Amino acid sequence: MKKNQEKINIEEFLSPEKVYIKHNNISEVLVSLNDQVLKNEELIKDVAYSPISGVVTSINDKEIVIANDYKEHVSKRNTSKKNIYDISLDDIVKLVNKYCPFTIKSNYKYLILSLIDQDAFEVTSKTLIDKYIMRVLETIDCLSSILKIDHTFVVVSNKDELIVECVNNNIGTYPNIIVKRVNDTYAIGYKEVLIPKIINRNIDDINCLFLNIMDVISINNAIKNKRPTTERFLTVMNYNTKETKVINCKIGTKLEEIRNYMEIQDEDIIVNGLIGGIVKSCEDIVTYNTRSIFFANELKEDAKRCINCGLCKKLCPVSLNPKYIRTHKNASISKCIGCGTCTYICPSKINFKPYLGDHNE
Amino acid sequence: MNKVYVRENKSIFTISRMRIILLIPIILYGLYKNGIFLYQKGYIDLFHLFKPLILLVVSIFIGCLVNILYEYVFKHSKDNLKNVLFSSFHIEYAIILTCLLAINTNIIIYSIVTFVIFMLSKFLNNRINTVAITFLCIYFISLIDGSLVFKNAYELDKTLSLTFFDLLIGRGEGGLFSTNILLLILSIILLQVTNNSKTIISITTLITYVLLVIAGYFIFKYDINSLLFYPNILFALMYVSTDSVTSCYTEKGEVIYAILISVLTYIIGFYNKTISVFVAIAIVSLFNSVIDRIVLKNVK
Repeated sequence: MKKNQEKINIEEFLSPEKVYIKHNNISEVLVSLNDQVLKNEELIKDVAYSPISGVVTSINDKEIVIANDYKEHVSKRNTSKKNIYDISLDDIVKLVNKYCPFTIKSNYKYLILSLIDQDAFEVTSKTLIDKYIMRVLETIDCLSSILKIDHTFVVVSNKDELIVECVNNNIGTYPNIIVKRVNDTYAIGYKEVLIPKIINRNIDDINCLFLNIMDVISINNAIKNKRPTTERFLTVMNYNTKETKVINCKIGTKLEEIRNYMEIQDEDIIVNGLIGGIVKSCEDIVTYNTRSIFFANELKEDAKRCINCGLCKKLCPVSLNPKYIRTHKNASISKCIGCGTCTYICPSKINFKPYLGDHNE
Repeated sequence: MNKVYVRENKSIFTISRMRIILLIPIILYGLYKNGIFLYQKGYIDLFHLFKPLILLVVSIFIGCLVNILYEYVFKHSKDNLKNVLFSSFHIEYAIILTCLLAINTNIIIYSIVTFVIFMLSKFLNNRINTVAITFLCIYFISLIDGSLVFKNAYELDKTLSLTFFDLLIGRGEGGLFSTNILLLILSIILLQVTNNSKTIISITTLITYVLLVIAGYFIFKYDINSLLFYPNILFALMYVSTDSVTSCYTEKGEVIYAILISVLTYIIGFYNKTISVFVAIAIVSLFNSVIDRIVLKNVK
C-alpha cells in the first residue's frame, strides 16, 4: 500500500447542475417548490443548508432538488469578527451543532486531530494540510482551551513526510498541542484503531473528541463565520490511469457529474476507499461522510480454498477472526470497522466483505 | 455491493515462489554432496550423478500434473495456467518431498505413490500433512525391497568422524537435499523477514526439540549430535511442519501445534527415528483445527 508522496493540487468543482439534499422529515423543510434560494440558506431547520443559489425544482419526502443559477448569491449572516478565543463555551457548542454536520458536547477529556487519511489511496489530508495548517491548529487550540480539554493530540503518520514537516514547522506557537507520530500501517486512520493506540485504553472508556482536518475546517467556518458546511474536499482517483485529484465539491452533487468531470465512462464508482469502500451508483450523491471517490474495474479472480495462513486474523486491526466469521453465521461482527484488510491481504483471494456487513455510510 | 477492486500481491504463487527460491541453495548443496562430489571421486556413474536432479524434475512434474488434472478435468476451471499450477502448494510439496528422499529411492515407486497421494490430498481437501503422509507411504513401500538408505556411497565407504559444525553445514547423512541445517536456518530467517511462512512453528519446533535433546543428554546420556542431526528431522521440523494448509493459524495454536510435534517426534524416535517426525506431523496436523478451536474458545 504505497502512498503517493507527490504534491497534488486542489481543484474546484463547485458548479454542479443540480444539488440533491437528502432528508427524512418533510415537516422541518423551510423552503417550497419554485422558491429562489441563496447559497448557505437554511433548507431544513438546523440540519441542511443550500450549497448553491438557485431554484427549488422538486421537494418530496426524501430530498430537495435545487437547480443551480450559477450566481452563487450568498445568504447574509451576522458573521462574528471577534477573536475565536473570546467565544464562550456554550456559543461554541451551539454554533458547531447548528452549522456542522456533526455534534459536539461540552465536556471532553481528550481531543484528537487525525491527519492520517483513512484509506491507503486517499490523499485529502496530505493535500489540504499545506493550505489549512494555521487555521486547523488555531481552531483545535481554541477548542481545547474553551472546552477545557485535558489532552490535545495531533496525530501524524511517520510516512507522510509532507504532513510531519508542515506540522513541525507550525506547532511551535501552540504549546498545549502534542504531536504524536504513529507507524504507517493500514487502517491506522480509523478512529477505532487510532484512539486506543494514542490513549492506550479501550475506545468505549474514552471521552474523546475525534476530528479530521475536514471536521476542523467545518468547525472553523461555523464559529468564525457562522457558515454552514456545504462543500467537501474529496480524493478522486481513476484507478486504471492512477490519475488522482483532490476536488472541492458541493455536498449534494451527483456522482455522475463527478464522473463526467473526470471523463470516465464505464468504471464502477467506489466511495470511501478502494480497500474498505463500497460501490455506489452514479445516481448517488456526495454527502458530508463522503471522503473519496474511486473509479475502478472489479477484480475478477476465482477465490481458492482457504490455505489457513491466518493473515486475516493476524492483521485485523480490531482483532476479529474473519476466517472464523466466514464459516460461523452466528459469530459477532459488531467490532468490525469495515476496513477491508482481510479481503485485501488474503492470498487465496477470498472476499470476506459479504460476511462482515456494510459499514460505510 | 461487496466487490473487490484492489488486492495485495501476495498469493499462493508468491508464497510458494519465495519458499522454493529459499530452498535452492540447500538443493544446490545436496546436488553437489550426493552427485558431483561422488562422481568426481568415482563412487557413482553418470545416471546416479543426475538421479537427484531427475527426482526433482519428476517431483515438479507430478506437482504440476496433479494441479492441472484436478483443476481442468475435475473442477472444469477456466483459470489461466499459472493460476491453475499454483492453485495449491503441491509443487512446493513435491520439491520438499524430494529434499527428504533417500539416495536409493526407486523413481518409479516414488512417482506412482506421490501422484496417488497428491491426487487424494486434493480430494480430501488437504486434511492431513501431504508431505508427511507421502514420505511415510514411500518409506513403508520401500521396505518391501529393502530399506531406505540415507548414506551416500562415500559415507557408506568411509567411517567419518564429524563435528557439530560438520553436521551443521550438511556433511552428515540425510535426505537428498536436507542435510545443510545452516542454510535451512538462514532460509527460515528470510521467510520470517518476508512474512511468507508460519515461522513461529519452525522456531518453536526447533527450540522444543533442541531442549528435549539437551534434556535427554543430561538425563539419559543420549548423544546430542546423533539425535539432533538424524536424517530429515530438523528439515521436517522446520519446513514440513509449517505447511500452511494443515497447521494451526492462531498464534497460540501454532505454538501448541509446534510443541506437540517436537514432543511426539522425540517420543516416537525411541521406536523409529526415520519416520518419527513424519508420524508426529501427520498426527498433529490431523488435529490442527481442534487445537485452533480450543484456543479460540479459551480466548473468548
